[in-house]
Amino acid sequence: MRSVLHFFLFTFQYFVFFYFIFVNSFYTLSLLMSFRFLFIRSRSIVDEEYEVMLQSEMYRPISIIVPCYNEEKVIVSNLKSLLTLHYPEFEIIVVNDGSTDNTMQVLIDNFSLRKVSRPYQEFIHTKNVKGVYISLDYPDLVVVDKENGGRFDAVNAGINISKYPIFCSIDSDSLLEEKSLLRISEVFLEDKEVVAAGGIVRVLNGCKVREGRVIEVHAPTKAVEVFQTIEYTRAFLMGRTTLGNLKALLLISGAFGIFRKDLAIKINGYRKTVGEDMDFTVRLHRYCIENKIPFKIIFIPDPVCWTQVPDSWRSLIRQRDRWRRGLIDVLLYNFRMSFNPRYKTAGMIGFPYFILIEFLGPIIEFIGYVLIPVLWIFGLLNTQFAIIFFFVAILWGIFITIGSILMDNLLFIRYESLKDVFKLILFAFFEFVFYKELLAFVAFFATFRFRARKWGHIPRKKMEKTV
Amino acid sequence: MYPVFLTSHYFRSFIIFTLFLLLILDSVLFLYLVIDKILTERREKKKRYSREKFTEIIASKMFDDELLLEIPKDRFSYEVVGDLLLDTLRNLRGDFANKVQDLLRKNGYVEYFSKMLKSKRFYIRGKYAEKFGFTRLSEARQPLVELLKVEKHPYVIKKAVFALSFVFEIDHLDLMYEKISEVKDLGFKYVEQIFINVIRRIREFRNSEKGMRFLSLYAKLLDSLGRRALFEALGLEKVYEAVPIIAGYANSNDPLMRISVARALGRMGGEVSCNILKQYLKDMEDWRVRAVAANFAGICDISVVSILYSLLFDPEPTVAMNAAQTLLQFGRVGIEFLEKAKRNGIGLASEIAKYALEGANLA
Amino acid sequence: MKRVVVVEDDDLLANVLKIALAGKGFEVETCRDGLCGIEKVKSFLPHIVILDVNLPVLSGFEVLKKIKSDKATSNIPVILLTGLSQDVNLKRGFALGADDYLRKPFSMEELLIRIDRLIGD
Repeated sequence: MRSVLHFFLFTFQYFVFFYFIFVNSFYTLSLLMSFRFLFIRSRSIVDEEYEVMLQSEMYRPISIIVPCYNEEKVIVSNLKSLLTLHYPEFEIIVVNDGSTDNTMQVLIDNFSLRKVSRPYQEFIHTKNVKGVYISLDYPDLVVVDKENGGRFDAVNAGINISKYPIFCSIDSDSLLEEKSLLRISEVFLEDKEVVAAGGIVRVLNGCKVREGRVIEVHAPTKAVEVFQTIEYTRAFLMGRTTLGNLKALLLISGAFGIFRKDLAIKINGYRKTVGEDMDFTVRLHRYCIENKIPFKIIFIPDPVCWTQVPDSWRSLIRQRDRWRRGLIDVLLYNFRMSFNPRYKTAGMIGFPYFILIEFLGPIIEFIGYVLIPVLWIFGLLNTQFAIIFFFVAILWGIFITIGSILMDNLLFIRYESLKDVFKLILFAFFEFVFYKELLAFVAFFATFRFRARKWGHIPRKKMEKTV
Repeated sequence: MYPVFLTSHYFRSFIIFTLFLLLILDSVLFLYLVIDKILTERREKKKRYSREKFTEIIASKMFDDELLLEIPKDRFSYEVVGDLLLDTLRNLRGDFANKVQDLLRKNGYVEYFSKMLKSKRFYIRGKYAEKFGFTRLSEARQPLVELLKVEKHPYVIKKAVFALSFVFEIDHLDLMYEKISEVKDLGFKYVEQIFINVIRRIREFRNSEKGMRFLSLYAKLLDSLGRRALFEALGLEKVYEAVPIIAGYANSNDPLMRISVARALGRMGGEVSCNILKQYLKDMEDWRVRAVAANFAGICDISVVSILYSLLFDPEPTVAMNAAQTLLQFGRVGIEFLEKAKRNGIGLASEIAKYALEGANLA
Repeated sequence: MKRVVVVEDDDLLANVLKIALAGKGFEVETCRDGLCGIEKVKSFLPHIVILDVNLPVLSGFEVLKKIKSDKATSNIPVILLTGLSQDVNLKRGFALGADDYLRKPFSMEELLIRIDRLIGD
């Protein structure tokens, strides 16, 4: 028995170490690369005021789809925020996905909705649409009332009714910045091969918001939220500097995606799965390759979408569990893409990346974290080994995280007070104590629970996005 | 028992080296952040205070005939006041603008900006070139032209051409064109802005022929993105003289180009424009061209109504909706056609017609 | 004395407008953002409102809508100051009930002419 364990431990160490070294090296490289940005930036004093002058007088239209379900208490303030965007030509399509509360009535009352016989063409099949409404007060607002079908179904309905060539879907409690919209639509205009673009997601929890604008950026209050902020910061900083340059590689998992409508219809919209956005992008990839359509899927670091993240451990666990199952579902459904040269970089690099790092990663991590106590229990723990493990897996990670937080702050976002930054840094030291293990644990077990998934009715009270 | 590499000296050195590197990096960043924050806050506070102080002063001074302003000699306040004055020029024209420009002249800003144009740092040259342009002073012309003649850095060229577009003389167009073509990757927004400025000023020149020649040269040698930006700008500014130039691209293979042509001509009107739009209404290659043409077809004479009617049955709903909205612009005749479609009751077309008519009643 | 409310977030411009209009015999109140603007119009009940479209907090269109939908203030003429020149924005402004508009940069004389046109006697 002991020798079996011995053997297992011996071989597995390789995996664990290689994994941590590989991932951490990657992060380190990104950090060093962004250091270069900082160096360039520091040579010049950025005068933002005059950037305003260059704001384009020409806009590009975009449809923003907002699926909602049972949000009677918050929908009005959320929408009012979205509607204050100073963007000349856009529409906000709110899709009421068969709410069982008073959401629809609240909408009708607060936005002077009026039912119209606006033609609804079912390009993508959805659950029954009961009515389309326009707002007498807000010419940019359109509301679709339909039977419940799940978030993906609501977005599909939104796509059906949208009138502009590009769209994005966000939650009602997310905030977009005006500059983001301009930047997004520009990208599609400048290059006609672009079929999808992804922007950055930042954590809204804790920030001061007034009338749809984030006026002060603060770190969130609860630990669970803070840990997520750190996580997002690290992930997106890496995304901005490295993956952003490797175009068709990124599968726009999470972030927030902006897509071309015509292609969305060709791939029949969103699928009934848990990993909606990622699945959508992957199928888009496949469609374009299979139909020999020249395409680009890019990641643009400028547009920012501020999102509410789960504020309790329980909802966080549920979210990550869902993400995990979604990831597996997407990988399985599109498995033929992996290591398939037909799908070029996405198949040869992107997919393998997702399998090895995103999928296997948490499993390896989890085993890694469990390994130490196990070794100790069996008296196999060598202090030298433990130290090295600590350095490679933990300390390195902490330094990287702190570096990302600092870099992010210097390059991209300004926290209102340094105390917030210190708070984030402090929490970075404790990420490995509990947070990382928890996530690895959830991911690990969700992998096995995947079999036992039950679909059916997906009642959501908070729409969540995959990352 | 343990992976061989763990005991390797090189491996361990590598790890220690990397960690050490990161530690230093983090510490440096940390210090940088703290210092930067403190400095920035101080600077912002100073700036805010200065701005408030001078806002009151300047506002009241504008109504004095005697334009004496005590501008402090310290660099910081000088900049703040300069920026305030430039801000005003963004908002005001006429009498007040002239007063502000006088203030700028009298207080040495022309010399100051000219001096900055000679800076060794490219960012400074660019920033002040831009500011110089915002002054819209004729004195800015010569320094900017001198700068452009020798400038090699693309960032500065961009800013300088942009600046010059506020104050250029017709003879400078060739230089501007030449320098702009040296720069790769200009960006759509930026190009538009220059064009808008150029176009606005061209009309002031009595010799619009040279201006038009410039524009057609530009159009020929720009890439398609730049050309589209140019056309959109011309359309928005209603430069009717440019219609022949734009019409020359009406048969482009690129649907995006055809769309820009449609939008530009649609904003300007006229017989040539209308004929091209009519052609686009039948564009089979790309429904978006039909849609945009349908959107702007209101500029045409009544003969287009029958084409619009047939577009109500277009398989693309956007095309049909635009056609319906445009039909409303043709009064009685258009409404009759819409009623006809509504009565016919053929699926989407009928719904669209009904929706358009409803909309007209709501208004 | 005719009363004016100026809703403009640019400090200098707001000040200039205030002094200019005061110089022409108007009683002027200024606001830097939309919320203040709505309140001020309701309480001050001016004869005319000069309203910038690009405001922080609440957009100019929101303010316009509030003014025009409230019975107490719906008759007050509103001149929009706009920086953007698209037709869509103007259409929207007029759809919401604006009485006139001025594109930036504008001249003071023009503004005075338009004010006169709307409330001159």
